[in-house]
Amino acid sequence: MSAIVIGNGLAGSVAALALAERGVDVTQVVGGYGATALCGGSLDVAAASPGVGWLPWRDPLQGRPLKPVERLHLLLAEAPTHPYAVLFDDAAQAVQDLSAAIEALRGWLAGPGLEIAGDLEHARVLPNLPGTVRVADFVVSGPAEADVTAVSEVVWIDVPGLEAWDPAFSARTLAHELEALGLPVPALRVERPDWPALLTAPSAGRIAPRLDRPEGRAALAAILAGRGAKDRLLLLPPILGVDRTASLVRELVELAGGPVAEALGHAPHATAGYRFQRALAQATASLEQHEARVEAVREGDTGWQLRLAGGTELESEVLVLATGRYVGGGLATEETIREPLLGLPLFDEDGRRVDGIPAHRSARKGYGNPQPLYSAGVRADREMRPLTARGELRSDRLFVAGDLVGGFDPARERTGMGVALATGWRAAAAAEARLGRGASA
Amino acid sequence: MRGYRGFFREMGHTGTLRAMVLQVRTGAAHVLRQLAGRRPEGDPVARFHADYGPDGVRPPELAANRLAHQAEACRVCGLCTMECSRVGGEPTLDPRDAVVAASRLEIDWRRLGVSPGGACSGCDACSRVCPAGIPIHEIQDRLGRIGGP
Repeated sequence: MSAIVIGNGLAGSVAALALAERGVDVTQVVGGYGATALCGGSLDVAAASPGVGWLPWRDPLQGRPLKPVERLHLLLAEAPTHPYAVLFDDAAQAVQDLSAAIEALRGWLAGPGLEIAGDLEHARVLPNLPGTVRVADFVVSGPAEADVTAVSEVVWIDVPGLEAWDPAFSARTLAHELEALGLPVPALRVERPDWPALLTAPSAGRIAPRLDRPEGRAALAAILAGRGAKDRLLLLPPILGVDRTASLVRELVELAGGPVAEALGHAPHATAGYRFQRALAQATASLEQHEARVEAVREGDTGWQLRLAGGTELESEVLVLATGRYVGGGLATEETIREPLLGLPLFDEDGRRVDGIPAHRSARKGYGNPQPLYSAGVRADREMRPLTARGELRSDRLFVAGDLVGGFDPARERTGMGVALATGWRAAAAAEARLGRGASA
Repeated sequence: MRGYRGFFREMGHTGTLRAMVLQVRTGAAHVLRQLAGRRPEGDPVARFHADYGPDGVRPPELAANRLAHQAEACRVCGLCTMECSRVGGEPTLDPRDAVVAASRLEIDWRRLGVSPGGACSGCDACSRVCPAGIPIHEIQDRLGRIGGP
């Protein structure tokens, strides 16, 4: 029983790890970084940004933020081409599968020391680096108490010399945003402790590794000791270590005497994404991995043959494609929009065929119109097997997962991570079932 | 026949057809004005705006061209959309749309019907987050000014 997984983002890693756990001989082809590495620190299953897209983020009558499970419900009812609608009959099934996948992910990431806090029953209102708010479902590597609506006071810790960290500006923005959204505004304060030279650098990515070392930890612990309170959130930029974040946060929370959290930071301050990608790499390190570009993919009578750059040849019975979209390189837009490995047909959320259109001419006119590029991807059946243009199975030994699956816009409904989990999980289960049937099936 | 239809559909997609119609119309108007012996008066840019503004045609500007060039680097990753937290934005607007609009031949600014800058909280998170370094906020701002009433 052998499988090749192409891709090392969240979807590819989940598929590879789930297959390996089921006793399949997995080979993973890893490339560069995909969208997972750009993650800002929240793992969203179906989160809406206030004011973006159609998915509401709060209950229109009660004003409270909707729970992830409620948003899943809405999404399943309103978006028929979304991978969730393809995968699940109803929200209960979605919750069951996603919870199982998250639980498994927690297990795999425990070794590398990364924690995923949260559940599908609670929404969190988290602050971004510039002070804007984000409704998030799960938090990667931060304590779940980072919710700014759950505390009565938020204190920004000033870090001099760090680019993009302007506590006074962030505090003003947060106050403005919470007020405009009709959410309770906690007391907002900025504290300027004596910041040590050891922890001074212009970018969060350069401070974070110093907090993996004992002297860095001690320096930060000295600053935060006794500064917190049960109802006071101490907010730091995303600098809390790279490899041992979970233990560092626990330590700091205990020392400070109250919640300590990072603001969510996206590229170029995506420390959390870097951490997440690194933890996934450590979790999959025990698998057979090849780091090279895939040059050719061919299906034979008994399975797949891959040729990698450098001449390595790989063979397996089933293949899982988790190559992502534009960031990961799963879809190419140099000339026409296409899936470069197998030339799979691509569709957008309206079911229109997208591949073969020159990318620069794909834009639909009008501001605010959904653009085909936003939701382009492979169409797959419930077992995550890609379909041809006529809706037939391309091959019963081929599976897809992650952003490569089309019909949804990962940015607008913020379901990219959830889809990666759900499709990676399902693709692994279906691939294992196919392997179990053997060559005769 | 199919070829023609495809041709026109594509032109409709990119706004080329509309650009051509406007070109012919403005050209004809120019000739008619010359024949009528009307001499142009006042600031040429203001005149251009007065004459062609109602059709959504704007004189090309260096800054706009620069932004359009920068916008072409967009890889549609969606980070700006995810990071954007527009307050009370109704109708809802997406920073990605501004980039796509700026990078494509989008002459119909006036008919966008909304002022994108109006819903923007000005946090500049979109520009900061962009892996391609596109000054998205600047584009939004510009769209807001041009597209506004």
